[in-house]
Amino acid sequence: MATNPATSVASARLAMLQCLVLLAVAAVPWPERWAAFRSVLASARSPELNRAERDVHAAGYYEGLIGGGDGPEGARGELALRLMGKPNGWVRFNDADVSRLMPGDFLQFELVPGVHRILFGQPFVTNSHGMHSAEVSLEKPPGTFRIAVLGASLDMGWGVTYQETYSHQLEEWLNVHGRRRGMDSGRRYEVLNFAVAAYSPLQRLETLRRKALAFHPDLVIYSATMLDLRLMEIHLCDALRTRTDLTYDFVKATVDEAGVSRDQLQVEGEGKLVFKDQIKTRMRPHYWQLYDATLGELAGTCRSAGVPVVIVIIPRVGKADAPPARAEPVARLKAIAGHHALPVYDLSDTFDRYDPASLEIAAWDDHPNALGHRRLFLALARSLVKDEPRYRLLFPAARSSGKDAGKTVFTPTGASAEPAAAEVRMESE
Amino acid sequence: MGAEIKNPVTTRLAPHRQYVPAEARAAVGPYGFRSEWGLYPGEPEACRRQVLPFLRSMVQLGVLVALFKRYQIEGRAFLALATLALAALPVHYLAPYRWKKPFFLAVSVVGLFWVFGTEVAALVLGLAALLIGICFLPVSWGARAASLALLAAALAAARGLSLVAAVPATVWPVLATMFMFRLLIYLYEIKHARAPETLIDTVGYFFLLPNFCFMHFPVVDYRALQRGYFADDVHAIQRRGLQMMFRGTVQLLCYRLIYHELLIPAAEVHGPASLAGYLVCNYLLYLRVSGQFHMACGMLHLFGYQLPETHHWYLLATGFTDYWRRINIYWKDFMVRLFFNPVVFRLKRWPQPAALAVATVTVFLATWALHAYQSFWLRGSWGLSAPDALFWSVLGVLVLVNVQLDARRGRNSPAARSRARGSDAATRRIELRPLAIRGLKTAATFTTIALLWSLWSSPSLAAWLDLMHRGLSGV
Repeated sequence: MATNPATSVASARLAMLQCLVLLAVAAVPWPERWAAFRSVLASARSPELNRAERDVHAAGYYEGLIGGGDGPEGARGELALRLMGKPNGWVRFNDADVSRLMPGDFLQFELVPGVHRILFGQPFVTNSHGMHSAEVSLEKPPGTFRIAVLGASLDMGWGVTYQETYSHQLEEWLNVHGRRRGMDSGRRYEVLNFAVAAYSPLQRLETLRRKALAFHPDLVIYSATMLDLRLMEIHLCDALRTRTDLTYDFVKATVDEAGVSRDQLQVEGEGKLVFKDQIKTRMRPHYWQLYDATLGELAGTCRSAGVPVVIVIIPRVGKADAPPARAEPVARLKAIAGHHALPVYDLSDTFDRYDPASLEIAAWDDHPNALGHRRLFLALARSLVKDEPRYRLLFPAARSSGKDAGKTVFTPTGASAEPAAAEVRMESE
Repeated sequence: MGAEIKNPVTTRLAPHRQYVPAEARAAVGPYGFRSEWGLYPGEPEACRRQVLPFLRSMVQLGVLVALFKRYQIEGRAFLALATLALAALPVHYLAPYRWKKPFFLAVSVVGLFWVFGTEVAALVLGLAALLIGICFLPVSWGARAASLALLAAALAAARGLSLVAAVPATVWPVLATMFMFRLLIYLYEIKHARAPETLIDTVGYFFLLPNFCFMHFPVVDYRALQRGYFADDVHAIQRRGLQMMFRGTVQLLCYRLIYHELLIPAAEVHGPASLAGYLVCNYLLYLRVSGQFHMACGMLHLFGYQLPETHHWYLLATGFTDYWRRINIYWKDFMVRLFFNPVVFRLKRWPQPAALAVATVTVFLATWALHAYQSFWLRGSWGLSAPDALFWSVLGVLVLVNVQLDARRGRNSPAARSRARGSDAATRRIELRPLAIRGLKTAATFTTIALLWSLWSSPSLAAWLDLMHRGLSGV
């Protein structure tokens, strides 16, 4: 048994000095070019799961979300989350009765229409069409420009009210901006949020075809995230497990090409795939190819319907989507978008400069909070303004070039423009 | 554990004999608080109040709390309890000695409610009252122990079979972290104690403030806790505690850097270099445990509980017995008191090597079983697996061999005499050969433990063999 040697006053002072140095290191705004040091400091301050455990956690998180099962070992349990500060009443998504399962349907699940609940400490409301947004009519009112947003939890507004989502803020800004700049000619804007938590790229495509196009959108915003491959894997495994028709020929062809045989689709008593790991291993090399085909199908569908598409890359808060972690998926997403001649707004660096603790909904959940959505909205609006073709599509009466328009709207002194004012406010925080 | 061998750690007193209780040195002067500045009448000298040293402790604790907040150390529960400790410390410091223990108990209960909410805390309090109440029943020790065993089995069944659906799942691990090991130690104590234990000491032993943010809590010895209470000048104890908390902070920060920056997933091991990196980093994740233990014991020091170190340079162990003594010292002492010593005592007529062997095997079997028991209470699953069994078996065999060798060499061996000479202050010249041998031993122990640790962390034996194959062959 080791006794503690007496601690002298001098060594106590030294420890105090070391504490102060550590505090100062964390408080100093280190230059952005010191990326490696900033990364190390972010690691020291990060209570998040690491890369290896995050994958496991993602599995538990989403499979828990969809299937209701407990996360595998390694993911954070209820008690650990409680010690991190999770309050009472913070229930899992699938326990909140806001979504319904649709076994045998390629979508697998959707949001329940007409929900009014508290979810993750915030009111969660869905309209009569099962969107996390205000009520809209199926018929497009005359003079209305509609934007359909396809995405997953980050876009749905996980842990924020629908009024705080970046898509709702975009709608408000479009209406105010057009009116104030005198470019709207009486046009109104509606941003329809079709995003559903844990929707994979294939489910987003299916949503476009089965739901969004019925609303006659004039522009589609497709949100891509760094979690998309994982979501695709979960969706496909669920579709195979529930013997769902894979709907699209390119999906069936990919599964065949991966060599997933009928024998591997056995399901045990509890409804789980017996050879799930083998299926995942076989499918894994084909996901980017499948993503490429999915976006190709989406682009083709929109082209046929005469609706332009924009791809936006949306990050999570924190280390999960830090620059080194996201470099490869972002490059691949851009390459795929380029392959189909789709414009890309890369918003993946939106949160880089900020303290993750100020932008995530909780220490144990890296979805953006209201401030995070505000930053996403500003980044998206800035990208739209700088993209001349899309800006002219939105505001046909605009005379200046997109480049000029960007300068006009976002000059800090341009106090008349709403985002410019907001930008000034936020930058001064 | 085992024969006394080379390690300086083992030459010290048993934990419950290290400190002299405060009452033995009580200042029983005739002066009141005003005339005997800093003390109420009859208070021990150790709790004499002095403005400057206490302010120094308060400032350092304040800076530490700021550091915890800035670096988001160990979640909001820990920050809440550290803040509570900061707020409660001045009151505790100024309170008369006889009120200090009840006050700390009250603060701990407030902490329980703050972290877990009313429902969970109330249920924990109720079940704790039942468990402690059984310990005080006016029946024989055997009847009390049997009643507690029955109750524990009933609670385990209720938990395992989800028989009590109305009880929030969080209640079980919280109750377990307070009682699963400390109740065993307490039962052992009341069996051998000369006088009955007081209620405040008993309840205070189970309700320890930092326990409510660290579910994996050091197995604090009952007697060590009581004997260490104000066993030194309170400011010296506080300084020691703050030093422990700072060391814990540094270890937790190092853990985060390793966890986020250096540790690669096992699946990415493809060659000797990545294998070596994985083995080292995987083992160093233990820094989180040692960091938390330092933090927990440091916080107890602030309130006058002087406790021994929980870990002692375990990465520098020079052998497996040495390693066993340095890592999680409280666990080692727990095993020695409850298993090793009783077995050796019962087998005192046996040849010493045989008695040591049986006692060591008993200790490792108990350690394995109690780790599964701990896993059941804290995580809800026993966690028994082939890698787990293999890990404890191999470590047990290595320690067993080491114990036998150490016992054979004895204290009077030339090596022991050489070490004694080496430690003599008069002969402080650096001898390269012993230093090199010590370095090699440390490296060999570290490598073996890191290897074993990777086995313990693997989901299956096949996964570990695959990891080794990829690492060694570079496939």
